[in-house]
Amino acid sequence: MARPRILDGAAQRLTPWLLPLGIVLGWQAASSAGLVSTRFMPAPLDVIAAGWQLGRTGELWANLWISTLRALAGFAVGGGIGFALGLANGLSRVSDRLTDTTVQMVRNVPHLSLIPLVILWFGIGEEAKLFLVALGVFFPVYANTLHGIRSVDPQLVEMGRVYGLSPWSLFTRVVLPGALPSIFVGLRYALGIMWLTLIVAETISASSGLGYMAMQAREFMLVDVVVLAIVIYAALGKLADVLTRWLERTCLAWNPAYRTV
Amino acid sequence: MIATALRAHDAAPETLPLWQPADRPAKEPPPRARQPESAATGGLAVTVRDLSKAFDGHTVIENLDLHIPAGQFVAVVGRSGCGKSTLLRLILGLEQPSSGRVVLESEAVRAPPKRIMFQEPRLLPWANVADNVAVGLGETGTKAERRARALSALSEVGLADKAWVWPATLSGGQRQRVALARALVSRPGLLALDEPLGALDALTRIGMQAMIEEIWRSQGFTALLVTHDVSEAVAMADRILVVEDGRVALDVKVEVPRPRRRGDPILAALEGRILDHLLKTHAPA
Repeated sequence: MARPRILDGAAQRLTPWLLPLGIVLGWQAASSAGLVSTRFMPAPLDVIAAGWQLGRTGELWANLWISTLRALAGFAVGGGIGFALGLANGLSRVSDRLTDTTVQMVRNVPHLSLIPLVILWFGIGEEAKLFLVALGVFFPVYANTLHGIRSVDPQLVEMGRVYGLSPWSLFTRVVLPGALPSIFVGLRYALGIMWLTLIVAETISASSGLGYMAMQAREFMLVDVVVLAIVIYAALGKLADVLTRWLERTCLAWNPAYRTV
Repeated sequence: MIATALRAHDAAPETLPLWQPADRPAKEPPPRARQPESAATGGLAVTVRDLSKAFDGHTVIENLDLHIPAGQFVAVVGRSGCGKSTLLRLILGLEQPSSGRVVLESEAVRAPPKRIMFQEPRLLPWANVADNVAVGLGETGTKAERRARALSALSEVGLADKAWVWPATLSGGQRQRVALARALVSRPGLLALDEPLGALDALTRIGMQAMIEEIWRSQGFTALLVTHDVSEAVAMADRILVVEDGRVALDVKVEVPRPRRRGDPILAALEGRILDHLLKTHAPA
């Protein structure tokens, strides 16, 4: 009985990967058969070779590292401000009345449209990337934190008050856990926007990082490196998603919607 | 403790409440004498003087006077919108009166807290059952103390084995029992019950009524039950207040010894009298 169950588990875990694997195999086969020009679309093996080459010289790791640092720094700043302001506006009517309208107005400006202005302000230094990533991450974190706090069950809040919880206890034991599912939604959106913004910013104005690496490769017609960069973006996106899913399962184990079977 | 109380008070095994779990722990605390004086020291006396409450000019409670001695079990019945829930919330201090006042008095040096059990369980879905019960302790005590008291309150409602599960895995009746344990864990002097059994099925409700009555008898707090179910009021209370248009229209003592039997003719007659009153005064034209 045990073996088939283990096999079932393995099969279930592998199923999502069948499609990407099939695409890569078909792509390799098409390239090998000469159906696709490698000038425009390199074979997967060429991409792997390029990755190996760049990894050996250390260029890949240096660029990956600098991009990760930028992404995390921007995320920490923008997410931190968004979270704090979301809490403040969710908990305080005064703060909400003072700032929410402004935030909603600025929210509708596509943050990438600020790139020309940002280059004028900061040049192509680190501040430009940090600013753009922080701005992009801010809005989803802010909006979802605020929504989370507003949608906490008022009956539970009343119960907490009646049962004599201090304001701090009420916040940590009732309001924040109640807002957490929504906050996680914001986190997921923010992680996606974080990479998107960073890659665009690095593509346009940078002298290092993954986006810069891809732009340089385009200059020299190194299509395999360009595709390698894209594959790395996909992997990083998946990694961020796995991390948030794990966080959700850990923090929201009480919620039947997130419970693992 | 409840089982012990039943054995002490009730010789007839067929009246054992339905909620009693089969896997009750073997070690029971020694039976405690339950004398009326425990009621006198444990409960809060409630005095309401000339109380009025209006919402947006609409009067809900009007010049109401009421005294509830410590330890009494009072049921408040009335039609929807008669002001009975508002009266309860005013007594608990959840609403501020428009005029008049509510005084809660205790003979104890430190006044015991007042607690409410809502119509909904209102459990925190992200806290396990024991932590939910510990919410009833407010901010008092160390973590270990809080946990120990929560566990003992849970065993009083027969749910000690569910201490570490999420509320989402419990049935509706079990959730209300957890809410009851949360209300009782701080040893309140006044327990207000705002139609807490309304959403339960008939059998679970009868079991819960018996459980609340037993715990009230053993702890001696003042109980204030708001309900629209007259038979529930008659079965559980010492005294029934019929509230109409923001006033006490009828104040009846229920002089039937406990434990009471379902279908007791005196209770049935009383229930009929109260129902008649409610129906007659609001007969459709």
